[in-house]
Amino acid sequence: MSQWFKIAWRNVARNRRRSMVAIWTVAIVSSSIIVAHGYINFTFWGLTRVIVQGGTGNMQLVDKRMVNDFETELLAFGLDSKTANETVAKLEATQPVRRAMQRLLFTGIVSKDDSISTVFRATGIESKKEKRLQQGNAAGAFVKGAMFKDTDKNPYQAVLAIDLAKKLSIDVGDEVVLLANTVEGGINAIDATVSGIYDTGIPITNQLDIKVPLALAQQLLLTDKVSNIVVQLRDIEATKSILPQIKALVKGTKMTVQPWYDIKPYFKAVEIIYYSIFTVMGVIIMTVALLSVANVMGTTVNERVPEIGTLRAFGIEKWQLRLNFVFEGLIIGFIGAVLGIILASCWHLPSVKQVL
Amino acid sequence: MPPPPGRSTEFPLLILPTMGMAIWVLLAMSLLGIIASYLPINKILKKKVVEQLSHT
Repeated sequence: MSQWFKIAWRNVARNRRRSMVAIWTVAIVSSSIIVAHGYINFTFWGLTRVIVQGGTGNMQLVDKRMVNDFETELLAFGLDSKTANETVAKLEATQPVRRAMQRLLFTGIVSKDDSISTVFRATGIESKKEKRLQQGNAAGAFVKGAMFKDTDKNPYQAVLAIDLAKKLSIDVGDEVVLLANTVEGGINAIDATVSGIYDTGIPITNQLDIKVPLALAQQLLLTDKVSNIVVQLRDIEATKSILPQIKALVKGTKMTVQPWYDIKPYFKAVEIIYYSIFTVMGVIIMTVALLSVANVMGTTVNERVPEIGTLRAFGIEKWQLRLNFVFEGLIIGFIGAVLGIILASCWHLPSVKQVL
Repeated sequence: MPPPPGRSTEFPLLILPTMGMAIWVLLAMSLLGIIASYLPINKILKKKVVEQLSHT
């Protein structure tokens, strides 16, 4: 067997020019496939981070009824303060959990100087824990001002999304009035000082979003409830492996755990579409490569037909000749793939520098 | 890269190749080489030795 491999290797070396054409064809095809897959891989890597770090968290704890039913009254399925605080304490005592944040979601009308008013979609947050907003990463970056501070002393602060601030002609330091329904069905209003203006990264939410301290949101809605608890893990990729542990933690309570990929179902849809496109592209590329290499190998074989006949006349078996040529194909394919991997890694190095 | 549909922020174009894909490509291309060489040699070996020797 090794003798036939040696002969195949010598044949590849002897027909150097033709072998190089086949090897480079395989190399270019290999690097194209690796780079295309690398780009798709990056897209999902980035999308995961945009979703998880952009506010959704790795998972969210909500009332079980929230999954299938609709709230007919404001915060009917909310988590009361005692349950929420105890759960957050339990979660943060768990090693894989980086932080657990209570949030209160509500809508209302925001106005400035009693002259301009518009609708808003607000989130009451524990500002100290909302690190992404504080760090000012691409989505969620402050264009003016900063996140509210000392909310224990002064909860009457707000940060507005950029287009909403433009619509209301609001600048940092201005006063706004937030008007919302209370949980009892009444209407309440609170003045808040704008401490920052930020870009959510999404045009539609830039026209609606407001973030306020959780204490202000609860005071405005006259409640001690929160809508959900957002869990961020130390390892962003560990959602699936940690999920059973968190589920066990809330077993027997009225809460349920939703991982981020169930909260944002479009991720799975995008994943299916991308991989379908990649598979079709891959099959086309592989077919072209197969035809190219087969063409080169066909030419090589055709030129060596009398040589094959001579060897057959000497008593060399068909399977031995077949094995020899198969080894040649294997050598060309293997060397081409290795070259392709090296080519693709040249793309990888600048990428790593950019990430770092 | 320009912002994707529905977003207002640009994003960098990065490539994240994986070791799994590299191994897959290595195996697939080796197999492709085998198939690409098997097809023409199989065709030639169906000819008689005399025909092979008289091939120009």
